[in-house]
Amino acid sequence: MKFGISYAYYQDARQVRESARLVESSGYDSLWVTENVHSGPEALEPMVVLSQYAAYTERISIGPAVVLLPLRNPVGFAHAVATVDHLSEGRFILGVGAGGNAVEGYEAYGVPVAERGKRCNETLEIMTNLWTGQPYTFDGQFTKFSNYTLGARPYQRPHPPIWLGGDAPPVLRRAGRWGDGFFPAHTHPQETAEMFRKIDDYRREWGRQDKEFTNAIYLYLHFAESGEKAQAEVRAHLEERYTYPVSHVHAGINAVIGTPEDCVRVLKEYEAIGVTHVILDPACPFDQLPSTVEKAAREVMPHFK
Amino acid sequence: MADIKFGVTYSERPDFTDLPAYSRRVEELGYDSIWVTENISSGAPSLECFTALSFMAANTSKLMLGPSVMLLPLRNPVLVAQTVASLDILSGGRVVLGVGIGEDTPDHAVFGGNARERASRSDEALEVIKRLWTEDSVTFHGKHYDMDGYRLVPRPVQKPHPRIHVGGGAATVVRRAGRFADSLIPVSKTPAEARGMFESAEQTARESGRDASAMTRVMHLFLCFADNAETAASTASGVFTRRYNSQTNVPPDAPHLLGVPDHIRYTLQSFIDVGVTEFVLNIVCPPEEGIHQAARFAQEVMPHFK
Repeated sequence: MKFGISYAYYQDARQVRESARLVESSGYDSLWVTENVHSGPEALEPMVVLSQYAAYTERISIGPAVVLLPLRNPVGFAHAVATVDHLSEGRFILGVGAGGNAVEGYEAYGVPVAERGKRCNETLEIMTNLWTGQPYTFDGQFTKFSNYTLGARPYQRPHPPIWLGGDAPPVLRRAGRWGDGFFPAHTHPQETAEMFRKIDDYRREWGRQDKEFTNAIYLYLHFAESGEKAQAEVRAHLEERYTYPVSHVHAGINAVIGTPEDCVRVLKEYEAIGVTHVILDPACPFDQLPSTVEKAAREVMPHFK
Repeated sequence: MADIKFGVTYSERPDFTDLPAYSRRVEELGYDSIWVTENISSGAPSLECFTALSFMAANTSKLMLGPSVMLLPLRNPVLVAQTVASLDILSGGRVVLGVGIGEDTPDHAVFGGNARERASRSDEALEVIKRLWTEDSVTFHGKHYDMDGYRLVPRPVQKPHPRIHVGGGAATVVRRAGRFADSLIPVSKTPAEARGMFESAEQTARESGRDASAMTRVMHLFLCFADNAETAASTASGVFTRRYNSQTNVPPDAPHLLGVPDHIRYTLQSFIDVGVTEFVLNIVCPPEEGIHQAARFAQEVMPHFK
């Protein structure tokens, strides 16, 4: 099973550099950054952060977890993805989401919330076609253009893997149609297994069942002497992060929290349902970040390698 | 003599593997800034400017960085404000936002815009971006953009905000620069024409209640060393034709830096004489020669103005 770390913290230039190198040197497989357009918590624009990750690491995959695709112009974003894929020499994974409940920024971006799913689909169709490097004509609900060739093709061919985040029914269909991977956040093992099965069905409907596909999961990470204590600390931390109460984190079930043994036990459940890549979001105070990332690499990861 | 600032662009490449080495070399050579050109012409090899600049920021420590120029009407201003603020933080306060409005081409539609609206979109965008960078909560109801109490966090490192360059040649560009920008960058103008544009932008700034003396005069010039101006102009014409997919002829006497070092120094001085204190050098030569041209300029020309 592969392991990644996702940073949801605001970090300055030095912290971005050091925390990226830490993830690579600790032996992880991937490094992720979240996007947030709430006008609340401080968050950097993810694509420019990923460009720095490309500069500061050499081996690991990098990607957004997730970028809010409906807010992006399809052509401009296809260009940015191709650029970072080049700068990382083919290490980019495009994690996309439709925004879920994080809809506060939509008005400022001029995108009606109700259109977010359709815009997501249109953008995926446009991007995957532009990435072929051929002149492309598109006549859709939100975008129309003819004979346009993108200025940069991605380094990976035909394009970087597209992973869908989220867990709503349209997301599962989208993953079947466009995805090379799927990574719901904090879903329980049994419901996650059910989602994987549904996506398999959708992939067959689109004739994509033979394409490589990654079943992944996105979970919080935090160490404490007990699962109970960890759960209380994580909830307190997340309420600060999101500025609203958090109740969906359950020790021993859908979070990699507690003692290293607790963490291993939870991950074994996900491994058993076919998860091959786990992305851990350290939900601890910022000053505990390095020790948390290192401890998971040292005491949890080896049980799955 | 005043310390004249020089920057160079990173433009089209067969591939983009030289980006780290190029940016580090530009810093070693003593330049003040590095710029990524944005070219959205269909099929023209190009990088997306903000992600490329962020990679350059990671590879350098002193250079100022910016797009020269990025096409403002093609991007959502909230995303631009957020992206540039992030880049300013990640570069330790080294970003300059160079903007243009683009030409009247179908490319606007590709990016969800409309060429006819490019000027009014840009004016609104500049207002929104500056307010998001400096105000706690922005309410804006424009023709193109709309928001209620939007708060951008984090804000840029530079206070009050990163410098804004407005580039172009039209009269509306001059007014836009006077209303919103810290610098106007005339493109393809003689020193006399440029002086008229600078003065007019500064006049608009005063009329808008801004401090015109804080505006700096920046010039964007094409650079190509050759044994004579004719050869340089012909090389430049070839580069433009490939870069923009359209036949372009650069005359040898164009107000650019074409030919031998003496001539290039003379042209630079003629712009310095009308108050220009910063140059953005857009190197127009076969891509593999770019870094050599930048080195030659740093060694044979720059010392005369530093």
